[in-house]
Amino acid sequence: MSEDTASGRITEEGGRSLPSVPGRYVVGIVGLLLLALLPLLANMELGLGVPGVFVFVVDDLFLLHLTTALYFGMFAMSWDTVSGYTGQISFGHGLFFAVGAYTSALLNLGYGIDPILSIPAGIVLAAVAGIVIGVPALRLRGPYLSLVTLVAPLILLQLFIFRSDVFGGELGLRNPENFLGFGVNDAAIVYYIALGLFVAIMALLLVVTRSDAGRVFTAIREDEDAVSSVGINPAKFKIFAFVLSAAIGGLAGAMYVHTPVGGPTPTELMSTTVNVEVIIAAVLGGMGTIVGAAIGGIFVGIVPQLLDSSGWIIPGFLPVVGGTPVADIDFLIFAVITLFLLYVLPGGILRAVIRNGRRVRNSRRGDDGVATDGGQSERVFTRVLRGWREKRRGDDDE
Amino acid sequence: MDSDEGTTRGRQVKRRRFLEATGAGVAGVTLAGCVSTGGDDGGGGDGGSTGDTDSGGGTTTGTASGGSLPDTVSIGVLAPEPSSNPIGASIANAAELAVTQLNEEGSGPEFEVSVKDTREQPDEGRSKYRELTIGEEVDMTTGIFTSEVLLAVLDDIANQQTVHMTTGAATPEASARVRDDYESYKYHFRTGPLNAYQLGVNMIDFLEAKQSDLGWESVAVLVEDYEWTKPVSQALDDEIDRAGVEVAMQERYASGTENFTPIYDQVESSDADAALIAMAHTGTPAVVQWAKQQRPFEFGGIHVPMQLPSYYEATSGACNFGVTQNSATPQSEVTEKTVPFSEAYNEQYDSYPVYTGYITFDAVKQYADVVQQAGSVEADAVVSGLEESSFLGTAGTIEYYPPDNEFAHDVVYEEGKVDPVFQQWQDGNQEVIYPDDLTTADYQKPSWL
Repeated sequence: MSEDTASGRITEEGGRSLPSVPGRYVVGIVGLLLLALLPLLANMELGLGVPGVFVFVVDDLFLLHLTTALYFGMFAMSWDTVSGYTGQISFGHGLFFAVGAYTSALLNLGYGIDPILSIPAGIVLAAVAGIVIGVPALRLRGPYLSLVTLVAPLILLQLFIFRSDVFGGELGLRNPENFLGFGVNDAAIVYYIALGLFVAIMALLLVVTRSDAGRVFTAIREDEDAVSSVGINPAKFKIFAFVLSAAIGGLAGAMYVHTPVGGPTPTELMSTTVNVEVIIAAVLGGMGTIVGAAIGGIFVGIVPQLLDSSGWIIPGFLPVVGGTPVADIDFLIFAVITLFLLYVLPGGILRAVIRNGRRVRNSRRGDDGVATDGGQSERVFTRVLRGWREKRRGDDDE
Repeated sequence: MDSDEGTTRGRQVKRRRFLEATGAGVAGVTLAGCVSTGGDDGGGGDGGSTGDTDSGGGTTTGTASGGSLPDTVSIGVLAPEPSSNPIGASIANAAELAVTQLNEEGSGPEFEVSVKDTREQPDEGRSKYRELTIGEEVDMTTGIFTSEVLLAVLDDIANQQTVHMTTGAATPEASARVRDDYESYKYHFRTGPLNAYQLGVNMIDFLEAKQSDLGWESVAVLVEDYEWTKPVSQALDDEIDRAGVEVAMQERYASGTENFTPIYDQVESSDADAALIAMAHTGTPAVVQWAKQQRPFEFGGIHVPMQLPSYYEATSGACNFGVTQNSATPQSEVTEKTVPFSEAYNEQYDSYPVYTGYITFDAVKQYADVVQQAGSVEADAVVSGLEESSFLGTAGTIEYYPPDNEFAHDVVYEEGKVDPVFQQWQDGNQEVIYPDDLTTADYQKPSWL
């Protein structure tokens, strides 16, 4: 995986030197435009072109689902900032979402403070939480750091349970006011607010990670000692990454609870499932790219939903699951799809798309067949197939 | 202890599944928030009404202007994992059975059911509730076992102005909201079970009435430390004096407790005659260890897993002599409708329902009754219809507390109305030992005492 990550990075860097606007930017902007235009397609049926297969209607419910997915994309970007770039893998990012969310919700419910003011307070406290976790993390590496991040949300949850009179325990708090008062009946506006925030966070994180600070983040991931040796203090940058990531996570969490799709409950913000799904999203989309995490987040947020509402039934001839409605085991299917994608697209969806897009362009220019490392380039599926064939041949030889 | 674990290992998988199936849900029986904003009525614009046109007969909600019933009345059911969890299955199956029977009678409109899985997750429950109300535009919703889910959905119920009849979650928070903000939350009714506070009161009533048979002079109160038990503990604290028993010990033990040896040692040294319990999540290890270790005290109260008709086999008889409250048991004639229902259910689904089944069946039947009397599915008409309704169901006579009551729109707990039974497991049977007019057997002390 690390090899692929590295090669992906090289190709990406190469793309930047081209004078014209790289194709992936165009694709990204088209993608965002599509997301922005979606509410205008109200009540249109979208699908794969085959009647009855994977057809979904763009209605309010779908927009609300997509809103949830957008917030999930923001959670994944927040994780990617610290874990994808500096390599300090966090298994408990839900802590930051929860701190932001609960702070804002409690201020709003308890003191009647408008979300416009309570959300920034949530961001600040989440950033403080970033320092609280980030500073001790300087002394720790690898599994020790991961353990700290794993335990921290558990401690917070126990605290919430212990003082359930304030924090509502395992049940969480009631829903605070909606942001600017937009509720279920304003699905399109709720969606646009989420999309705006999504784009803003993505832009901010892209700027930071593509700046010199971002290069130091990556360098810390590759070799922390090398960073120290050139006179840069890695501790400073690690804390910066933690605080930035925590603040962004806190912002997304705080906004999320002021929408009609989310509420301040531990299950939605800081459960183990959330913590793991955030990692799946970022890794699946492409760790250390921000855009990949955003894509992965939307994917993780919306695919189980689409499977759930597909109404398919698994063919009876399959063992174990035959005859079961897809809706009953949507998460199982989703996990299998994820595993499969990670197998055929190591390095994540984004890198695979960029790699393939580059090859298509190169082939048009006529220098097809030579990959950046000078070898023959080949399609993902051909590579996987060839791998299997070789393995089988190897067995025969024995 | 080691050998003990050895012998019970084979059952651990089952036990886990039970805990997931039963405990996790009742854990939901709790309180959390109160009022909320989302209640702006009249949502302007066209938001929220983009239903599937193919759901058939969707000519109902919102537009129904009183006086005439639509051809089809659709009922949305929210159940936790209806394909695997006995509590969720009972909700879903009982609703389907009720609708089948209503349609066979054929006197009123055609009823149809749409079941959605809440997975006991608040966000999932909220999203499924919207699929039912905004997407399918059902006329009413019922079910919801987990209090966490109910609280997450309450604002949407107010927003959608669609009648909801809860048939599992016991948090008193829901009724508190109906009382505090009647105009917004009046669409919520709890057909059952009793709310968590009244569950505690019911335990005291049982102790008081049966004291001579039970012979418990002192009790050790053992309550698992989850949200749902807080109102129960509160009720016990408030009222245990009148039961005429001495409280030898009181313990809210930690959530997730697996090893009850130290707790039981304490109970023994306190010389209590019985452990008075409130357990859902931790119930199975508690009862298994009590029986295996043949502890010298009796065991009863609210024990959610013990309510399952198949529990005796699942624990290889470890629950023998355990006492728990229940809405009804398959053989108990709580009303004339109880046994016919449990038999019809068993015939259809090859197993007996758990308590959520009786309650859901009653909710659907009562709703149908009210709708036909009001001649309308319009929410306000149904709300006042339900408020006035007195309906003979399978779990008792269902009536609701008035809006100004502290338990507004909760089912009325009273002798002759809804009065839960207490059952004791005796050699594989759920024998009713209270109330007296329903008893099928006398209380038995554990054989080792």
